[in-house]
Amino acid sequence: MTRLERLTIALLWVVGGFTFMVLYAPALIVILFSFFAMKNHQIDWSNFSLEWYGRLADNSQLLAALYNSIVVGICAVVSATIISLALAYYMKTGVRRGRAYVEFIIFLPFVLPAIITGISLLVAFREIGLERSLITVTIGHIVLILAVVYRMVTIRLDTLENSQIEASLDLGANGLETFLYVVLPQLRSALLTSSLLAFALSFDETLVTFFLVGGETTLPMRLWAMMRTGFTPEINALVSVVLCVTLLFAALGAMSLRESIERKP
Amino acid sequence: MMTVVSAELADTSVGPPRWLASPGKIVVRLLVYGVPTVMILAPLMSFLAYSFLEQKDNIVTGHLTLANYAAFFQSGSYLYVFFGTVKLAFVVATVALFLGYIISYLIWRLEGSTRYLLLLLSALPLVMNYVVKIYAMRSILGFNGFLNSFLMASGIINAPSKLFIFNQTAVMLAMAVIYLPFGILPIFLALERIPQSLLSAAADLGAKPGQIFLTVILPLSLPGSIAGALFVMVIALGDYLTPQMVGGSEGFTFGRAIWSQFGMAFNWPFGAALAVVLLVTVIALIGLASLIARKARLG
Amino acid sequence: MTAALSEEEVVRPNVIQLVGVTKSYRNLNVLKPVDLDIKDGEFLTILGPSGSGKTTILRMIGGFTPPTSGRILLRGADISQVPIFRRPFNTVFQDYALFPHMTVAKNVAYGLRIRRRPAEEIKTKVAAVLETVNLTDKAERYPSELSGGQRQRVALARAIVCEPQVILLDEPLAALDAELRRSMQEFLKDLQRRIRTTFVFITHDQEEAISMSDRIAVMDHGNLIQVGTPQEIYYKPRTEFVAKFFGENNLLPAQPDNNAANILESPLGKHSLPASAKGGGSFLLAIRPESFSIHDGSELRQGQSVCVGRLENVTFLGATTQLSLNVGKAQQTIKVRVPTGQSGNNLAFGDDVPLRWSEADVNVLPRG
Repeated sequence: MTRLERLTIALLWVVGGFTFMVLYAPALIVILFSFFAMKNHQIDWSNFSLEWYGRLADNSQLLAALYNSIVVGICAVVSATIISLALAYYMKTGVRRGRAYVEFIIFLPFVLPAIITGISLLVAFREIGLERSLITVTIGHIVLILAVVYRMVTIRLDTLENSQIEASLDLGANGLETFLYVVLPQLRSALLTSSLLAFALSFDETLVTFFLVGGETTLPMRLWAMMRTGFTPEINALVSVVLCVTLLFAALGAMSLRESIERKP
Repeated sequence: MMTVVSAELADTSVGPPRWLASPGKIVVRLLVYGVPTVMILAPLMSFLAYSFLEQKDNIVTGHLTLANYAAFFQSGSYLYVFFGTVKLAFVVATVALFLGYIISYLIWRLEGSTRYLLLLLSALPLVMNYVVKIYAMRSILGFNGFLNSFLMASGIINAPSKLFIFNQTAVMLAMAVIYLPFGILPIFLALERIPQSLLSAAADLGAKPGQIFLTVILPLSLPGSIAGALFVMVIALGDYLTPQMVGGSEGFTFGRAIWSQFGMAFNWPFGAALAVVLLVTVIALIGLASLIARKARLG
Repeated sequence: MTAALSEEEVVRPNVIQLVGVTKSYRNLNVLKPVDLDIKDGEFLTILGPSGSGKTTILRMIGGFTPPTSGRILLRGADISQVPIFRRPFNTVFQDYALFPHMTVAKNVAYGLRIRRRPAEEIKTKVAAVLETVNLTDKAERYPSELSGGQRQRVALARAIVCEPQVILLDEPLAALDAELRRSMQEFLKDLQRRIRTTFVFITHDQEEAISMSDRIAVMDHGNLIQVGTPQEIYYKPRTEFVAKFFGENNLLPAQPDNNAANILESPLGKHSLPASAKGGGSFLLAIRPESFSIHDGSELRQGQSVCVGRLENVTFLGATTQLSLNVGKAQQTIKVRVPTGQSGNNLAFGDDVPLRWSEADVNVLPRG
């Protein structure tokens, strides 16, 4: 390497390092502010406090929103998983001419901006007279995460030899038994990974939820509302908690993803 | 054709035609094709239809009209906001392409566990809560925010600057930070697709590292990277919350314009028409991206 | 296919009959109409190169693919529309298709568990079958912990434990190395004799087919060409393809004699045209190298002929020695295989060697 090239690479690392810093700065600053107060445009390092975290536990609105988010997430993940399993298994067990059509439709909400999906569902719900509620939010989340779950299920299912299914049928199991005893157990790690990822997506979902939410609200919606009304240190604490929880989920997902890659027979 | 006919005849001689075999199969087929259609395609269609409906005195009359589109194309302010937003998204995508390429390239050159770790670190911001990121960006860029505090503490400015909040620049900065991670992964994958043998061949033919980058790596990875950047542009175009939070009244974007039709203004047909304009733009961008990606694959 | 039963069929009834079975995908005819009877308790091998349609036949018997036309009968009853899981057959797959998330014992027990058999019965049967395939000590292992040969035997055990009427084997030895393959061949043949179940075995390996089978069905390009015992297939091939497919063979061109319509002329001399070989045009004669012997001048028996060939090459093969000789006006090369001692060791290149053979060993084939 010439000196010029070495210099260029070093310069690139400076830019890259700075960019990484910028990417993580928001999260770090928020976490910092949740423990320390600001005084005269400077962080008051002397005043470490967990006060804001304590106040979170008393905020019943916030806890309700958290509860809603978890319920919506679980319902959406379970529904999307069932739909994905049914679709993927159907596509697996025969030459299906409609496969391209179904996959195109499923991936649409993933590719199009969230605002389009949000408006579509909002209009459709109004047309069929469905009031906005947590149910509409859940349906919206199913539509959004379906692409992710379906993709991860098909990737694993495609590596499953057809002879596995044929062997099971050959040994006297019908389609349902084959699915339960042979296919499902081998999809376990893929389902775990996709569920974690899908739950994280649902837990974070904001841009579609905004159009579909009714009286009861999810955590990101609650957060948004709190920020609109004003900045309190309490928000910093809440945001830190949310950050840590999502990071935990992401870490779990990354681990199980790695495991499923390594365990591939 | 003969064989087809004889095959059909043969099938009927064996038993009833296959598609009549079991009503259960028809139900399954209806569900498989019906569920995605009802859940995804039908809402999209109804939203498209809505953009052609007439609204008078806050009531949708049910008549078909092109007035919603006419209103958009004849209104200077909406067109201005639209092109402003396209420009904004383009700048965000360019920043994502530039910085994303640098980071991806640096990670791509690495080996072993550092490579995996840094890649993971660059993807991790993707799972950080979106609202949280906007909030954090506001607390950085805000009038009393971290950036102003930092600049004042280091003596660069004397009073808090209003340059960083409630304008287009603020929206651009916030979006660039929020959407950059979406650019890194596709660019990294584009670099990964370059066969190692090509680099060896170039080196064998006497090219220096810098020349290899300019003559082999960059031309081969650029199309995939641009496709990734176009994906960032698509996301940025549709965002309506970031501009609301950090943009203030000056940072009005097309996404916000659509949103306001469904909120305050309550003119859904007009909002749907605006969203269709966005949809068409997005489809054009995706088409461009897949065209570039396909061209790159064909070499 | 006549309705009347021949004597042999009375003795050994048919388990499976394919009646005019065909398979086509779109306009591609994978299988031309096939009639095939599979007899109870026999080891039938379906042999053919890849793409010959042999696997298609097996998959149609097993129920994995429906026939485009024709019927498949199980002891006289049409099972063409019966789904896989109701057919009393079990398959040993080419890739074994063992369930990776189940132990060996669980894999073997699967068919019984599905049939809701009592736990006690499952336990005894699985243990007995694992004993049969010498895998008792591997019962609690997972398939990924086994060698290729062991996996193969698990697949066999899983297929036989349900006591199916027919066991279908789809090139089960293809993935094994040569040595293991030979021992598995013996094991399979032995197993089949012990459990007296019909085996339908698919392979593209002629030697495997000849050494293992009671009967062989030869397939090529979607056609069932010939069905017969290994001896029939080897010594009485009915087409050029079959004659070439098994071992070394001499194929010689033969034309009808200009003077006598029922006489054929070949580099070996004159032959009478069998009634079965009709029509004009040219024919091929197929005769095995070992059907020749060196003529010692003793008196010819009924139906024996003699000709002279010029020795071109000698190849020592161990127990036998192969001679290459030029015969006839066209100096056609034929191969002759004789016991090593018999050649007398005193032959020299260019010698004229008198050969003797029996006309019964000459097969007249249509030239295709």
